[in-house]
Amino acid sequence: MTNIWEVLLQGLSVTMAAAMLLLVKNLLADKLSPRWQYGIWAVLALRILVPAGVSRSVILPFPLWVETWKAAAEQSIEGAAAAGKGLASVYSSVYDPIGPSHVLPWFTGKPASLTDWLLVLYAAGILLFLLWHFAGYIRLRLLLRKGSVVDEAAAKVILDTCEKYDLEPCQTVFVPGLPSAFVCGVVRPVLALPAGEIPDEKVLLHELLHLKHRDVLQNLCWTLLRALHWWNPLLHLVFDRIGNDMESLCDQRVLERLEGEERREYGTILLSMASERYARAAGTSSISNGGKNISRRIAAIVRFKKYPKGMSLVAVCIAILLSTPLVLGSAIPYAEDTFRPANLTELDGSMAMARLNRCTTVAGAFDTYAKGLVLQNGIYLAVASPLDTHADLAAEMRWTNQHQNTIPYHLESGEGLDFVVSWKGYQLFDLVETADGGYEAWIVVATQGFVDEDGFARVRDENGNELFDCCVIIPVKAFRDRDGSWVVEETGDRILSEKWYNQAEFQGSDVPYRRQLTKTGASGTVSVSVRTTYTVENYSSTNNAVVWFGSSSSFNTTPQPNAKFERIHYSYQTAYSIAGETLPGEPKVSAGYKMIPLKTADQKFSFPEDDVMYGDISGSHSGGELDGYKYVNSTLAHGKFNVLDGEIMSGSGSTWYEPDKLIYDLPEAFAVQVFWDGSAVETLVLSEEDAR
Amino acid sequence: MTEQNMNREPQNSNAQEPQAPMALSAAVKKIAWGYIFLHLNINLGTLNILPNWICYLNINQSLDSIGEEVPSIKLLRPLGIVLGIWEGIQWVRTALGMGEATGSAVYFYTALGLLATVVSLYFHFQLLTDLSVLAEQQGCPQKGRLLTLRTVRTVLMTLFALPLPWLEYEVFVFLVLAVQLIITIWICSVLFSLKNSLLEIENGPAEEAAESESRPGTTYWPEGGTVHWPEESPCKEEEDSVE
Repeated sequence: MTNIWEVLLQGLSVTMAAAMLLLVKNLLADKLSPRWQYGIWAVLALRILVPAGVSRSVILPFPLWVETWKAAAEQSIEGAAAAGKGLASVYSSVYDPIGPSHVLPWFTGKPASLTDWLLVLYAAGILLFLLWHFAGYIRLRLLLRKGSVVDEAAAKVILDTCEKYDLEPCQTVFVPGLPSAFVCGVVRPVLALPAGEIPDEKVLLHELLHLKHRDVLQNLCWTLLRALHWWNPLLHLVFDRIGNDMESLCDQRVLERLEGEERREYGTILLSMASERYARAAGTSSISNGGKNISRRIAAIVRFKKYPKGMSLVAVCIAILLSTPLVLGSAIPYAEDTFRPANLTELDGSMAMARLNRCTTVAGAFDTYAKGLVLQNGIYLAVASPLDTHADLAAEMRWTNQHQNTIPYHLESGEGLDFVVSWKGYQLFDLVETADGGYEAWIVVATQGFVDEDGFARVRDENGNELFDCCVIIPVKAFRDRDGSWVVEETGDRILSEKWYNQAEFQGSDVPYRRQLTKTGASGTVSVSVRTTYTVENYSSTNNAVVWFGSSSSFNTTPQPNAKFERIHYSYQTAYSIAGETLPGEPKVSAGYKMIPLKTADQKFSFPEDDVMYGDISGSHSGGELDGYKYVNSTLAHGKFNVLDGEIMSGSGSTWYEPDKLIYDLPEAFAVQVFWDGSAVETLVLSEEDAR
Repeated sequence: MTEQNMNREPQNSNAQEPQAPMALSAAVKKIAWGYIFLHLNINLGTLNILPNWICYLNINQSLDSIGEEVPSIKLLRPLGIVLGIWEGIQWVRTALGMGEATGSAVYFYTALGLLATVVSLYFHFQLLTDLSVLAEQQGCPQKGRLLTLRTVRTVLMTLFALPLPWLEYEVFVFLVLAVQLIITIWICSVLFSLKNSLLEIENGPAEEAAESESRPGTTYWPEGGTVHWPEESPCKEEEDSVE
């Protein structure tokens, strides 16, 4: 943990886990045995040893809360530092998200601000706590050194007890003034007995069982874990409870070895210790742990035979069920309104959420960024933007809210997006992997017009035609930010296109194709243009009870930072054109072509055996039109073919649903067979050499 | 009238007698029907006419009877109340069309949901365990089946409660539904079978007594100690003279 905020996050997560465990234990107190009641604390131990994640929370959204508090506190510290009052934090900053990678305090430099010194104080507290307990342990060992070796009678009782219950003895000493027996030490344990008393067999049994099950070592481990949370009074109570549960478990083990009247006598012995003082000490275990705890232990003894039997399986299953949400946490269910803060105070919380709820996939980053542009939502953009830009994004949102009275999360989307048609969503074209491991692509957004140079809305083209469906084409790149999340930045100037948004896929003049191959042969010019379209599942259909036919679909405007591409479509648009009289001959009746993609340029191929249909020519060569039928991959498509400067176009493609990778291999080449009047006149192979 | 009859307490006493505990078969039958309510839902709009909370109401009503034979089952009462209240709240929320909790209430329901899952797991495990003990005590043959059912149900419910992508893939959705359907049918068949076995045991001594009463000349000594001779008995004259 490198700053005090991570300490706070870890502490809150552990406290919540402890609270849930206490609730469950209380509900099942008389149903599951002391073995389970103590064993379930292993979940808490795991929770303490696992750093609190920022993408997963323990019941409550502690990461979001702590991140928001951190931002507010560090902002005021940075503001004061800027004004010359104090120093800004070295260990944390407003726009660096918290993310503990380990559970021990770690210093990344000299402390500067108040929050830095709090971390120092926390670390000092751990050391002092451990020193205090170590001092107590040393005092005990010194006390034991003053003890005397047990007499023969006591030694015989001890050995008889060990033999009777098949237990290992250890060094035993009489210590004057001792209220009750205890075991001290992990490596060389010593059993300390009150001087002058012949120890009761049951008391010895209790202590020897502590020894056998290494309870002293467990006690030491709990003390170390307790040290990490020395500042948390609630957890002190929890750790006391753990110690009591350990004693109850030892009672259980004792009772399992005693019979009949012996069990009642054991309870009487405990009762006699109810008024005795006791002190917890690391590295020790004691039969007496205070009056209130002893009364609870006696109640457990009374229930000894009444615990339902055969509960092992469900005890384990309950532990598993509790471990998952308490140790691993659960995904924070951020509410939709977190993305739409109502005021500037909530804006801090939303920006905190944007720092924590990062995009984990390339698809998620593009989807979130595009929706941020479409909806002009600065929080969406922050989720998918580098952390270093968050300060500027937040400042811009604040400025527009304060000076233009806009909603707090409004962010101008920049050139061309003044008249966005948000319900159409966006398109993503031509994803290409870059050398540095990023991905470049084009985002296309629908608009109803543009603001011209004079600042007026221009909704007509240069011919005076009204524009209803235009688009803005934005070059973008996705890459990994310093926190490992995927973020998006624009890589160039936006293209304002008057072409239809729905036809953008085929508008190579405005949106450069992924690849374009062109070749001129004896029969004309053939070109194949490749476009790849990436789609995240964003449309949900709803059955309209009022409308009897069909259903409507709507675009999902909620960002999906963890999205995957629902499908990748590769489309091949083939165009065959004749430049009129430049060719030695020309078709009389019909023209057409067949096209097949090839994996490699030298791949052997054959065209499908489909009939080419004929059409009638009309008009003269200079302006007549032919009906051209063409087969493309066995698909019949029909288009008008002008003999002079005519062109036939059609499209085909391949689609991968739920793709398992981002980039599929493009065909390296395409074979095109040209038909005039039903007969094949030429076959052209277009390869990378023919790329534009 | 004999001295014995005069000393006999009148049958219609003004003092209230404690209500006789439910017969074991009736108690098990209640539990079986409770499981039907728990696992089957019939929705009229947003109203489930087989609400889950009735399951826990039925089970709680059966605990006293079964607790006479298997005392540990009475430990389930507070848990049954907790689960009944939880299911009742869910039922009301659904009936009112309140949908999923939003805002900060989400976290509260997350915590309660976790507790309910844990308590429910334990509740049904112990219930089926105790019913198997009951079956063993009464000499019914369903003990093994109940224990197997209990184990399978517990393991599967634990698996389904883990944050695995059960609902993300169609095959898992069908698997979960099929398994839950099988468990529902299995539970009901075993419990109704147990109920029938218990009913046979309960009706067994009464049938024997009815048989012996219908045979002439048979002496039947009821609790009061008075001898009742059948109508056709040659001893009837003697009875009249005794009275």
